[in-house]
Amino acid sequence: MPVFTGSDMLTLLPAIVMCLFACGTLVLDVMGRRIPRGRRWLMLFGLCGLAITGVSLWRQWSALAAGGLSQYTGAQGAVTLDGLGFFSNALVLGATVLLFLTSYRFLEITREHSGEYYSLALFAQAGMYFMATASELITLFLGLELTSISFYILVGFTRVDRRSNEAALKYLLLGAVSSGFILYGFSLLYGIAGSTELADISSAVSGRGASDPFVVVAVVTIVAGLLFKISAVPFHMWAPDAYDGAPTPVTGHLSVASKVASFAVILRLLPMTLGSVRSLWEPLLIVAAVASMTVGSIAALTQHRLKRLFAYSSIAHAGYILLGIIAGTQMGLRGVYVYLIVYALMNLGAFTVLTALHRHGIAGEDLHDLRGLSTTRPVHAALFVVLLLSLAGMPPTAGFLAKYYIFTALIETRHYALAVIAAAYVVVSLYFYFRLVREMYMRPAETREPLAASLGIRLSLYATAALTLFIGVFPEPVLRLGFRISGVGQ
Amino acid sequence: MPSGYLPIFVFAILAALFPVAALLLARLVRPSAPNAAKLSAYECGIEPTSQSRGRYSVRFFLVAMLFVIFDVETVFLFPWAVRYRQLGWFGIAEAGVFLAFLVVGYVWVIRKRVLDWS
Repeated sequence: MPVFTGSDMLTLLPAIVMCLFACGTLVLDVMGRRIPRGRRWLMLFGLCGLAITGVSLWRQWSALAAGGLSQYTGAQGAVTLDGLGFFSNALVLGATVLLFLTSYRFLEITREHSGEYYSLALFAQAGMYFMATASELITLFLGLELTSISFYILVGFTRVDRRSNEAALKYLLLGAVSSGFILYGFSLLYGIAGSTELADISSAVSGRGASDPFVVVAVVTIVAGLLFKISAVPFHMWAPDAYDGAPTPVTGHLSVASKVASFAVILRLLPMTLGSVRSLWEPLLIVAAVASMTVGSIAALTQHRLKRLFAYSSIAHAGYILLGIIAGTQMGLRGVYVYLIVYALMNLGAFTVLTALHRHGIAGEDLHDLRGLSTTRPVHAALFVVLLLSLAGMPPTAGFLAKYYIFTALIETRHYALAVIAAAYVVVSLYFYFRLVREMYMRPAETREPLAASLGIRLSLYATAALTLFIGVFPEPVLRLGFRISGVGQ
Repeated sequence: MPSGYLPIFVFAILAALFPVAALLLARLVRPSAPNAAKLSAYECGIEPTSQSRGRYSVRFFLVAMLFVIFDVETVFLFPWAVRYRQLGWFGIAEAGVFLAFLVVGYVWVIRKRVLDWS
């Protein structure tokens, strides 16, 4: 008879806390509509939930560190707590905290403030928890779907905005197709192994080898579905539209949290589970990585809508992160982890600035909305420049460090051509990031309307920019973390 | 060779025979009075064909979705009911958790006045 053990408690507690608080915000919102300033309490209630989640994640980390980063399984083998899972969940938790901090003013301005927003964000976080820790296909798929469905609704959250509706519809239709692909691949894996456990699948697939037609179809469909989730080319078509139409804080969250969790799924499924058929999926990833860097960098050159520009930039970044997986060595995987941390910081920081641009009566979504920011808001403009430098991969910011490890890993594994292509696109990306800097510093301001810089927005901007600089100058702690995590689960 | 499927096989044959028998019986018993309305797709009083871009109240959508959710709820409860004794208190706790989530949704639906038709 199954029972709920201490190991279950350890591995599931963060997800349980998130689900409880997600339900709590829903019920409190509809129960307490008449409480004055109730929405502020809702946000604080959500933040409490995140704090408790953080504590339970910290307990997981201390258990992991005490056991020399060994694995813990829970829920009868459906959930595995290891370095990768902890890493992704901690990053997603940080992203959700920043989402809560930056959303308040934005939702007040757009008049779409309700508890469902926070509830959906928490449900998405619970979904991403299971994406990162599932060691069994059904749990993994449920996590994926919980995340996706929450994001479909969040993307369309500004209901009166046609652009937001269009974005949600496109994201929903294409996302459903990609989920179908993944599910089809999963069903084939189940057919091959007779089990949904990743460990059984791993041994069954390595027994069949890379020439088995079922293995080929399963790997190709799963890779296609997963590339969609990280918006890699050629499965990127949804990203510019969805990013552009979604409420700006949601766009930032979508580009960071869901991407981090999807990369956790890719790392767990491809190198860890299907590592024996590397010859099958490595070429696919190489094509996707090169295509992502090309399309992302070149399409971003001509964008004048800010969120669309950052959509293409995040497509290019997905390409760079894929390169680390292609290199596949411990150096490469460490590069992936470091890149994900750095990408999360700089992208969230950049989207915080974009959120602050959205003011009463000003959409703040176009390139010219940045004009004159250096005179009206010198501190914000300077911090934005730091984040843009990091996104372009310039020293002394963290972005340089992230790219450095990816490139080193590529050269170590003799992927010289890939390293050259990647370096070339760094130069291209410099141009479109510096278009933003030019608008801020060399064009006169169009409006005197102050930025919607609430306390939460300022906090998250300062935190992300400071950490971006700190990691760039003093990378030791992040490197050590990446090293420890990439050392396990191989 | 899979075993234990004989009842299902018998059931499938019965299921196929029943409508055939019912239609044959009806044909023998009923009076024959054909008219044009009987040829329409489904006789429920609503025009069977209309513009595909026609609008309808969003309430239809909400109620349909709620119906699906609470209908599926019972589908998930049936396996638990079948294995009720073997699962014991663990099963009761699991079913309780499952129902608690649905109750949260139900409270939300009521407070949002989705079921309020006035």
